[in-house]
Amino acid sequence: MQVKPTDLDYALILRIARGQEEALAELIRRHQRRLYQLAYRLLKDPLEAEDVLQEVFLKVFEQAGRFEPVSTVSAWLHRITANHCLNRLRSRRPLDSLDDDEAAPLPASSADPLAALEGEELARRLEGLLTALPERQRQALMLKQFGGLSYQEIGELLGLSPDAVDGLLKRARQFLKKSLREFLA
Amino acid sequence: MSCQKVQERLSAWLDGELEEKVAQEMAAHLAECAVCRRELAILQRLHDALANLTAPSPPDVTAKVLRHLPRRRRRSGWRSLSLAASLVLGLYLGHAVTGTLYLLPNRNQVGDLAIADVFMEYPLGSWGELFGSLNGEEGNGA
Ligand SMILES: [Zn+2]
Repeated sequence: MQVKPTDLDYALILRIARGQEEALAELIRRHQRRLYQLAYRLLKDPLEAEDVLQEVFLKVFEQAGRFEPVSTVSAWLHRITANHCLNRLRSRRPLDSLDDDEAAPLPASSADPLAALEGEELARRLEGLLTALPERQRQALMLKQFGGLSYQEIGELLGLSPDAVDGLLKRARQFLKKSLREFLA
Repeated sequence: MSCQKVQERLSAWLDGELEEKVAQEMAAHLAECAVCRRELAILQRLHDALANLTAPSPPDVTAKVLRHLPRRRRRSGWRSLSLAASLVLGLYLGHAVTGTLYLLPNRNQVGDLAIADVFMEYPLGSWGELFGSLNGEEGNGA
């Protein structure tokens, strides 16, 4: 998706490139919520997610002059955020095995299936299931769901082909769908 | 396209990752097949449920970011003044020694940059600023 000349974010980026701090403040105001969600979902740590957000916007201030309007500003911001998060995850611990096999056994559910239609209960179970997903599947799903990245972009970040990303997402969704069938059907 | 093939591709279809031709075949099948439509609806509900997950309320990082912005390469007034004074002295000595006043150096002389360096602070986005930041890595070129 290309940037239109009338795009507000793009106008802000141009001003940021000229060193205008108020423009950066406005860009932060417009995007920090969604970027934080992505960072939090990837890192599972609110403080680290906040650190990443700061890093990202400092980076944006530094690099605004290099932004090329071949993608939207929002997509660019999400990619930078994802990149910073994955770097942190890599330095945090050795990668989980590359051949992600099966998801861990389901966390036991104490929920009454009849009360289960409540959105709150669905969310609670979903959170539990996400932690049970193999790391690669979880990362791919979070990058897609909260980063809006393409399979190509996710593949570049994770060092995988777009087809492999397709496979990860398919398995992740299959697992969640199967586990939550009673809520979703 | 068989139901099995369609259901295998629903995930990529929702993400808009299928080729146009395949996507059209999918749409045609889904229009006819209630079983696959139900699978699609389930996936969509899963997507919505994920989208509705709440994160801790995000902190406002504006103040922190602005506080940590790199300062421009600022020279103190005194330092600029002393550099300017050296320049004038240099011009005077050059004149005194050679009898020529080098007030306007050739365009190609490196001296141009030195003069600019004394009197100007690089505005962001200028060539001067660019020299200082050629080592970036977060470009988004295709
Ligand atoms: Zn079917």
